[in-house]
Amino acid sequence: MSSDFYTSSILPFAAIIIKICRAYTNTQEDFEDYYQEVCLQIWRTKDNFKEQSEWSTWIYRLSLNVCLTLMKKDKKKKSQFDSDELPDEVTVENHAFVDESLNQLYHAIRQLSEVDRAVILLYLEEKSYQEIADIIGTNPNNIGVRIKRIKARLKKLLILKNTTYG
Amino acid sequence: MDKSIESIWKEGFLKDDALVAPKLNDLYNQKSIHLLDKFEKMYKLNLIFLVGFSFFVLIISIPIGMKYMGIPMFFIFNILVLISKKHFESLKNIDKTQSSYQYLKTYDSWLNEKITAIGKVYTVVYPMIFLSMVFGFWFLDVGDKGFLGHIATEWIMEEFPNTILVNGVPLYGIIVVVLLTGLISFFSKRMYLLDLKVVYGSLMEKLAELLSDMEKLRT
Repeated sequence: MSSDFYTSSILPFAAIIIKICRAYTNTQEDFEDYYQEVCLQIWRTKDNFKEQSEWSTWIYRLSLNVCLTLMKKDKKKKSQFDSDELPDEVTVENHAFVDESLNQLYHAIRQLSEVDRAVILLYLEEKSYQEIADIIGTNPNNIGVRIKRIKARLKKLLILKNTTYG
Repeated sequence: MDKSIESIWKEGFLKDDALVAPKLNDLYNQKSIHLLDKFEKMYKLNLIFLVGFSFFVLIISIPIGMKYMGIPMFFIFNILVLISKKHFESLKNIDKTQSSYQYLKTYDSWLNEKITAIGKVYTVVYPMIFLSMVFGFWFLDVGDKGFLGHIATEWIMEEFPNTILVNGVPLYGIIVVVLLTGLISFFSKRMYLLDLKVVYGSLMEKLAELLSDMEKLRT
């Protein structure tokens, strides 16, 4: 890694990593750990980048994979709930953003399954169905239906949150 | 809920420091830990492989009649493992409370020191392995006909009756073996470095890269 690898190749894409890591973590401490691990993995695997895709796409893919792996490891440690199963509630509220609506949206996203979180994050980042499918490694035909279903669930969760907390 | 999730997403990130990256003070520390862990794991695996291989050679050599190769090789490999293990244990003496840079620097010097020390051991090990093989083939038991070396000597004496024998061994054969042993000893350091490059090459390169990176950061 050249001395400015982080500054030149990671920092300009930090927003992607931050948005993804926030969706998979509940506390600031976990978020920083995940962020660090993603950066570390980008550095470790940078030689595998073959320029067949955009560097940003590579970062999306890697960030998601690292977060999914870390989540699995954390879950194993805590043995709270099975993989891809919805948690009953998010244990620690994360007020990471100034915008309260965004905090609520993240709160709702965190209640989705791990894969659904990845799909909706990529959708919100305005990735095409094909790109989403490429990053996640799934069939693009199912993406549209899945997004509709996730959005409906998110809306429900947001409405529920607003009616519960006013 | 008035706004769509798309607009919450877009507008939410427009506000002040929503996307400030956390500081990565510990990144180099993590990288060096990862690198050194990997190196230590490989070193241990290599030693385990050598012990396993020494037993394999010993077990195989007896039924095929090459115990004069198998037994010395078994001892050579295990002595080598003991020496390497002793060197490896000195790694524990490196002060881990130093800064990452200092720690990596010390580690790097330790590594170079050990490469030189073990390289010297190999100037004896490689020729001894070669000699074990020569002995192994010389004393290869070929049933009623006796040892392979004796059969070869008989054949040489029949074809070249003027051959000088030293204790029943053709002088030219001894000269060839001595010359080859000397050559192997002479090139042993290069062979060892080549061996090292194959096994640890990429890790050593990464260590050098990491160190130069940290040096740049310090300037």
